Formats: sequence, structure tokens, C-alpha cells
Amino acid sequence: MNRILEYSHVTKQFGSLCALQDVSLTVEPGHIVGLLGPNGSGKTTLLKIASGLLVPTSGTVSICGLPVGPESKSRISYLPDKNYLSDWMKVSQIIDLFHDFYLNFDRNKAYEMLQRLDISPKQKLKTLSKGTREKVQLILVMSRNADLYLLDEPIGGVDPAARDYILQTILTNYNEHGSILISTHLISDVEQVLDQVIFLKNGVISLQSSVDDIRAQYEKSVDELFREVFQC
Amino acid sequence: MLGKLLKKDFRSTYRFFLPLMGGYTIAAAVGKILFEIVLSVLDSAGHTSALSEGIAIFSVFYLIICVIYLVACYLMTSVFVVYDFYKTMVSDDGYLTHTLPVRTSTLICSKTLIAVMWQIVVNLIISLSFLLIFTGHFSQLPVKYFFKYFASSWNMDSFAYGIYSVLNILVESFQRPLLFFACIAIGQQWKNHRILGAILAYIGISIATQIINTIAIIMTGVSSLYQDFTLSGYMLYSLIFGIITTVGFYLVSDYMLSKKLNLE
Amino acid sequence: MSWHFDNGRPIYTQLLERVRFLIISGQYPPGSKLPSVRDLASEASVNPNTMQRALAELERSRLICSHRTTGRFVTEDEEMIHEMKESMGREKILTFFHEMKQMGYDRDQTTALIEKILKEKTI
Repeated sequence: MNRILEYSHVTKQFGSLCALQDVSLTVEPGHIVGLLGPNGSGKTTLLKIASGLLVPTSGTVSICGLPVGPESKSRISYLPDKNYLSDWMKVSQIIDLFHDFYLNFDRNKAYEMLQRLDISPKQKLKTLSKGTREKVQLILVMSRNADLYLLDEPIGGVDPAARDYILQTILTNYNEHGSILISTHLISDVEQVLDQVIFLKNGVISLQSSVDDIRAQYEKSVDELFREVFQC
Repeated sequence: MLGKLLKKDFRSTYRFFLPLMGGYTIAAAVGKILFEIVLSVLDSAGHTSALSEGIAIFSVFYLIICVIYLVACYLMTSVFVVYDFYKTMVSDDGYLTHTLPVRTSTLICSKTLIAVMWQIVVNLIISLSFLLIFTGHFSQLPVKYFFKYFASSWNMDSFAYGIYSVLNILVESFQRPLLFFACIAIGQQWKNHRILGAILAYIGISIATQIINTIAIIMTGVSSLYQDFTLSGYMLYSLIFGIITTVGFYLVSDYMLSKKLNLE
Repeated sequence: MSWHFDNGRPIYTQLLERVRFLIISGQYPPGSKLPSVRDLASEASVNPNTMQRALAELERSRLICSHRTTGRFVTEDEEMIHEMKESMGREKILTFFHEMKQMGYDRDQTTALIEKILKEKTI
């Protein structure tokens, strides 16, 4: 099992709009890969295809050599850019739900992180602020011992102070043999945790390289290069 | 996994059904008690016209409210089933539902079984409430004869008619939610007009099943049975047709949600 | 506390320099055990693979050595650490003189200024 995630010639069309065009990429075990691109470049679509929420128009995706299905879903821990938890539930009920369905979910880890972030498990989701909900979702996702984490804008909605903690959480909790594919436009915040970056432009991969190769080759940070490549 | 899903779906629906059915049970019980008290008062006090007139008006009002509530129960059952399916399968909550490590077919099975269960519960409670009315002071009502009358008008004995009714209710309680599910599953294809899509799908499917039904009746010659007034044959046909469409709706839902899933 | 990184230079080079600095300055004394890659990466808020690469590079220069089972240790060769310290100090001073020169100070003026400051304040 030498490839955690592999897209081959994936195209996704929404009506006449082409969200992804012939995208091929692989993610190696133990790697943290940044999926970078401006809004509407197809980042979310790419992640949703691997997690099974969208069916590609053509091309295939495999996760640890498996096609998208129940087995692949049990290996992927996916953080959407949406609030996907039912409002009426309590935090503890959602933890039970995750514990029920995902064999690799570590309940103790989840409770530990909740305590660290001062979130009461007895609270109902609808009483939580938007930022707190995002933290709860991230806790749930990172409490799984998954082979692949797909994180869609994990730090988008939280304040800069919490960002550091969240990056720490991601770094310390991911399974060592697992990989992370993380989409974001806040590059300077995540740059140092990435092995590799993928620039996505209008549904096409325009650059795929390691962070240090970019820094060595262009003598600038990925953030600076990004601003140049996607200059308006 | 089906067991876990059933647990999850039960939890997310019982918070709607509990108040609905609880309310109905209380309304029926209170009504019954009031009637019994009033009637026994009347029995012992004698029927003065003013009193009995007042009671008659009151009982008519109460009955109307009960009937409205009863209709609302049936309606709300469908509404809740549709709402829960829409919310958890194709809205933002679907992001969780569809990333659970289960097959789409299992998801639909669970939703269907829970919907069937609630319909049976609703039917049972409403039937029990009727039974309640036909005891005590109303026990002289000839319920048995209603059944016999229906059965004879359909040219069946009352036992066969009873079995047919039960089977019919059962098939319908599978068919109804699956029809809604299929419509929502088709509707989610239209990114920005999911509800409109589902309504159009509903109209389309209704027309299509009607046409197929008509053709099938003509083709199979069930219509000739119509003329002979031996409707048991027609009933058997309608049950089979119901089962076939139910399976069809299930297959459509499964196909649309596994092969054509399009969450925004 | 995450470490700060300059733009435009590979992160692993900066990590390497940072760990080397911690050894030279004695925060990781000779012969002491280094924290695990994961802990170091977490402390620096960087990717563990990048940290691994930096440590591997330090291993190659024999400033640290690894034992298969017990982890990584700072070298016990104090002479080597001292040499490295001196070469770093040298480099800093050369850069300083270079910058002073750009500002218009020649060598004597610079040393004179240094002495003047040393007299005024006790550093």
C-alpha cells in the first residue's frame, strides 16, 4: 500500500461549468499536502469526490487502492467546509454517534480535546457559536485514527489565536502513517506544516511541488509565490 | 450497520412523532372521558332539551377538532418523513450521512423502515382511539356491520377483506415514503432548485404510474373483472402493482443517491 | 510557541540552523538526548517530515547521532561543538563588519566604536 490517495484523470462538470479538468495526483503515506487555490478553483470539489459526496463525470479515485465506498469512507476522516452536524444534538450525542459508526474513533481523545478548548459536552450544537462548532467538527475529525484526513478550510472560520492550536492539533493527532490533504487559502498560516503543495487554478493543477523546493527554487515563500501566480 | 442507522434515524425522528402522537392520545382520551361523564350525567339527570342541545353542539365541535387532528396526524407523518430524509440526505447534514461507512442502499433501507414503523404506530394509535370510542356508551354502534357491508359490496368475505386491508396498508406504508424518497433523490440533481425538482419529479412519477397502471389494467384484462364485480382479482392486481412500484421507487432512490449524488 | 521562519529560504535549512544553535548555545548539552522528531516538530509547528530531514542533515555532519532504539543524542565531541560555535561566531562578526562598512565605517572606526560602547555600558 504505497499510495494513500490517487486521482487519475478526474473531470467533474456541473452543467456547462467544468469544475475539475483531467486532474491526476497522488498522495504518499505520511505526507501533509496543501491544496491551494483561490475561491472557485475546485478545491472543495476535489475533496468531495474522494469522500464520496460527488461522483466524478469521468476518471477514477482510489483510496488505499480501494474505490470510493463504505470501506474507503471508514478510512477517510473528512472535514467539510459546512456545518454538517444536526443542530438539535448535544456534543456528547454526536461523539456517541461517531463512536458508533467509526471503528477508528477515539472517544477519550475527543473528550480530552473538548476539555482543552473549554467546550462542554452537554451543550447543544445550536447554542454554540460558529467558531466553536467548527472546533467541535475538527475535534471529531481529528479524533479518528484514519489513513487519510481530508480537511476543507480547517482554519477558515476561527480566530488567529485558535489557529495555532488547531494546527497543533492537526500535527499532533494525525496518525503517523496517515496522510493529510488540506485545502486552504490562508497559506502563510499552514505553509510550514506542509510537505507538498498543489496549486489549483480553474480546475486544473498548475503546480505540484514540495514547499522547500519552491522556497529553494523561487527564493520566496509559497504564500508569495501563490500571490504572484494568482494575481488578479 | 443497519442497526446503528436505525438507532440514529429513530433518534432524529422520535422528537417529532412523540409530541404528535402524545397530543393525539391525550386529545382522544380526554374526549372520551368527557363524553362518558356528560352522557352519564345526562342519563341520571334526564334529557332536558337545553342541556342536550348544548352538549350536542359541544360534541360536534369536539369531533370536528378530533377529525382535523386525525387528518393532520396522517399529513404530518408524511411531512416529518420527507423533512427528515431531505435534511439528512441532501442538505448540509448529508455531508455526514454520506461519509458514514455504509452503503447508500442501507441508508435508504433504514429511512424506509423507520418511516414504515412510524406509519404503523400512527395507524395503530388512531385505530385504538376508534376502538376506544366504540366502547362504553357507543358500544351499540354496529361496527361489525360496516365491515360486512364493505366486504359484501366488494364481493368478498369479511376475513379476506380484512387481510386485504392489512396488506394494502402495509404496502402503502412502504410505497408512500419511497415515492417521496425517489422524488427527493431526483430533485437533488438540480443544484439550486432541489425542492422544485422534487415536486416536478412527484408530478412526473404520479402521471407515469397512472399511465402504466391504466395500460397494465387493459393489457392484463383485469378490467374485465371490473364488469363482473369480482373485485378480489382487482385487489390482488393492485397489491402486486403497489409492490412493483415500491421496488421501482427504491431502485430509483438508490441509483440517484449512489451513482448521481450531487451534494451542492 | 512556534518558531519563526524567514520567507524565501527552505524551512528545513532554517530548522537545521535552529537546532544547531540550540546545541551550540548549550540548551541541548553534549551527550544529551534530543526530543523525538514528533515532539520537536510539534514544538516548532512544522511538518514532522521536514524536521526529520533537518535532523538527518545534522546527523550527516555528525553533530548528532542516532541510536536505533534509544533515539537521537547530541554528540559528546565537545571540541566539534566548540569549533562549530567559533565558526558561527566568526561568521556573525564578518557579517557585522560588512554591514558597518556599507554604512561607511572602516575597520578602525568600527573597533573604536565598539570600545566606546563597551566603556559606556557593561554588556
